[in-house]
Amino acid sequence: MSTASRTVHILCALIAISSEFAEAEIFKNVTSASNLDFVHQNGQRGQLWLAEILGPGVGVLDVDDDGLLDVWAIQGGPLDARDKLLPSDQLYRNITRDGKLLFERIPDQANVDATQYGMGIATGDIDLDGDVDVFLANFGENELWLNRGDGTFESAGNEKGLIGTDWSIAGSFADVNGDGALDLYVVNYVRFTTALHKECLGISLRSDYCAPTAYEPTPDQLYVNQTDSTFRDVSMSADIQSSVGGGLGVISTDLDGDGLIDLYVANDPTVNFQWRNLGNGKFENVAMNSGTAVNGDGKPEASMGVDARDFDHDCDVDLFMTNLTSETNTLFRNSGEGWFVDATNSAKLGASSYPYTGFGTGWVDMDLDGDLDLLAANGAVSLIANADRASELSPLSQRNQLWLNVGGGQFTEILDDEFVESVETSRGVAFADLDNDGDSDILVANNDGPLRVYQNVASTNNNWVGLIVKDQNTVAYHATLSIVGQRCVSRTVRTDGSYASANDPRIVFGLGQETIQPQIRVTWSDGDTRTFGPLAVNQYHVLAR
Amino acid sequence: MLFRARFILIAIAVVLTTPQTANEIYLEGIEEPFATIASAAYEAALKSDVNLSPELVANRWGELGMLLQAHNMHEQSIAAYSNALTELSDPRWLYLRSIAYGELGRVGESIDDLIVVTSTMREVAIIWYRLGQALLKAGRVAEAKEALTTALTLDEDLAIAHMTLADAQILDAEFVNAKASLQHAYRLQPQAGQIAYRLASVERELGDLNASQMWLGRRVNQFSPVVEDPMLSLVAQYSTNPTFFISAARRAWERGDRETALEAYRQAIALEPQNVQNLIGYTRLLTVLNRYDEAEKTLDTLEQVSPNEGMLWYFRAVVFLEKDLVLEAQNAIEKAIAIDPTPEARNLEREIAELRKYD
Repeated sequence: MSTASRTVHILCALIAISSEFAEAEIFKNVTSASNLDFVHQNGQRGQLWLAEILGPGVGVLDVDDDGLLDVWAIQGGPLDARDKLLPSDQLYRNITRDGKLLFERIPDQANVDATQYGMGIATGDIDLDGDVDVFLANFGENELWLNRGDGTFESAGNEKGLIGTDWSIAGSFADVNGDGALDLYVVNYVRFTTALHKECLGISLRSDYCAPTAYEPTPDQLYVNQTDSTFRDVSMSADIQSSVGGGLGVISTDLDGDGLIDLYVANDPTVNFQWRNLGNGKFENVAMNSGTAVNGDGKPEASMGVDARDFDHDCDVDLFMTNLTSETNTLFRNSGEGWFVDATNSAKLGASSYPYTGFGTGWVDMDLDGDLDLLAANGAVSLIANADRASELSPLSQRNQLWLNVGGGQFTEILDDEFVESVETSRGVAFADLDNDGDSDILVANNDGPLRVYQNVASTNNNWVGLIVKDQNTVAYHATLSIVGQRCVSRTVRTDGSYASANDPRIVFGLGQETIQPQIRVTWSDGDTRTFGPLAVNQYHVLAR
Repeated sequence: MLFRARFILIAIAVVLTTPQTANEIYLEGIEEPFATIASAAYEAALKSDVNLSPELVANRWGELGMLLQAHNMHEQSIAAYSNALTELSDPRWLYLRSIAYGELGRVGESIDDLIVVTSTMREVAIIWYRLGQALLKAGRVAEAKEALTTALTLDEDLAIAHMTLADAQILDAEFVNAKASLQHAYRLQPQAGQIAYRLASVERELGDLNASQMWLGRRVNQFSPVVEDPMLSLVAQYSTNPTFFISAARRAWERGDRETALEAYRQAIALEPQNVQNLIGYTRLLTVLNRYDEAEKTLDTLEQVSPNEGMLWYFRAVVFLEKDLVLEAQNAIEKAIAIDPTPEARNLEREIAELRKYD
């Protein structure tokens, strides 16, 4: 399989649509029917420990290489008394048939006994053996689970050099030094243990969760893969620890168009970091000069989730992040000249996000019309944020949000949708085409609540082409794909972003009503470029070198 | 549960006593003493006699709204203001309801209220500014510019209106005009870091990277220009507990609003003049801001309340040192250490000892 594409044998399940997309339902909650029965436990005992409100994320990955993305659900458990029997993360095999989403628990958990108090997940093939491995960011020791290639995992971590006991939230795999092996950036939050817990009051004098400023932030870590699947902590030498913040979200992508993979870190509630890859093993935080450290007012925000895509088709990567209630979410539009502009209000994304605390987020082409829409899963972090609903059982719950890209750099909020109407304490969101019909479904991880799966039922009669980019036999992270003949229609292969979650590594281009079979140009992260196609629409293709 | 039952009874009472159906106000779950005060205000509004004038009834609801708004209970304050407005169309309640709508991101409703308010209170610049700001949030840039221009016609020294007008001009890519607006704002309030940050952004857009760097260097804080809004100040006074003010002071300080922080401390001290910790906290803020004369007066009060407080003598030493009274400072710090040898006091003692070498 060295040059041309091969078609993956997947059927497209097209569903009838409403002609007025904005009024049509997009996501349908199919959790019960899909047999996804995972419930997160945050270990709350009334003390209002900070750690209990930040998890979890959720991951999608093809554990058994059957072409259907499986689910890794992250568990919390008790925050104290951790010497007792502890609940583990749960793995669910995707057994979807005929467009009906269906899951089953994987017997013996695929050998996974992940009982640390989990926060986030990152996926990548660290040993280049063709299957996907898993990094777990924990409140406690982080974990690495190596895929044996037979659908089971084995624990590795300390022996691989990924020692980390700080409170980690998320990770991002990226080959930052261009040696062909995936390195790992780990986002750490604050120095908190139940023993260090502080009592905090909300503005109405009600006991409340402390803001992270009550604790000391901890520096992030960068681990370089030594190409033998062991890692070396280069945080100091790479200058990654020259700035310290309460990190929650991370993405890796080329933000300045110089061909090197940069990193962007969403911090809570301090300035965000934009780590520019200098190409010599070092990184420089250029966020203040590039305009991404603070919002357009010049104020730092409490950022949670983050994603990066070229939403306005101007050939550079833009940033979107979810923030705390009483702040707006923030859209940084890349000027293409080395700096970003806060375009939140001009995109009409400001006012609607003001009342909510956003976590999981992502750019996703919900209607396969070729442009990127937005989604935010919300849930408060302080009781006072919902003081008006103090008598409710879950005072942190908030509704979710969807915004449809209406062109001209603007968005409109969609209100009539089961995902939007769901009022829970949502955290991580994983984006994945779980039924292989081309459009993105979503998994929503709720804090101290059930994992939800929402099937995209808004499948229009728009066409699409799905792409799995490989380098030899492994997914080619940070390869950039573009449609030949269309200016600035491109996507980069990543599984990071959102909040503490791992997403579908495949790329789908929505084509609208276009029926001409597209040609796709792939630029691998080392700069090698090839063109594939024409490719048949409404199916997935593997593009490999 | 008792609290819930109490409000069910009150709800029954309203049916019997008020001619119109009032919006229900949910006060369950809030803490004492605020719960007592809020429920009393609610009860008073509900039990308004039919013979009372609409203005008086409206005032009762409006005051409840202010109390709730002061405690960030915006949805409930909107309900209370709406009840007031049912009784009497008073621009005060419309204005405050618009602010509460804005806090909840309900910009459209906020704009609707502000348009009505500006039609009756045409000469108040701050209201036109609020309308302009809300219109801008809603992406109605041309209307925002109009409202902000009106605000500046009424008060050309309203720095925040100049800054917000610049935001509108930036959205229309009128960077030269935006720069002029921001320079005007900067002349009025150079201490507001948000103006400098915007000037850095605008200079970048205009291609002058050196100027952009210069303005970034002048962004010494994240403060917005100070806004004097008498109605909101009134709301802020509707709190009932000094702890609330301390919390408000902390939040104001964190967002760089120093005057509000000091005012909140003054409110807390007024409510609880014997509270040693509040007096110390207030003194600390004053010394950080180099306002030593005011600090000294506060220390005089503190000395009357608690003469054996270590921090009293620590701050006495700080103030003496600032006045170059090194010997007095040494005496004061020795008293402080005798009472409470904190690391902070030890450090100051060492510093004073160094200075004494050169006496």
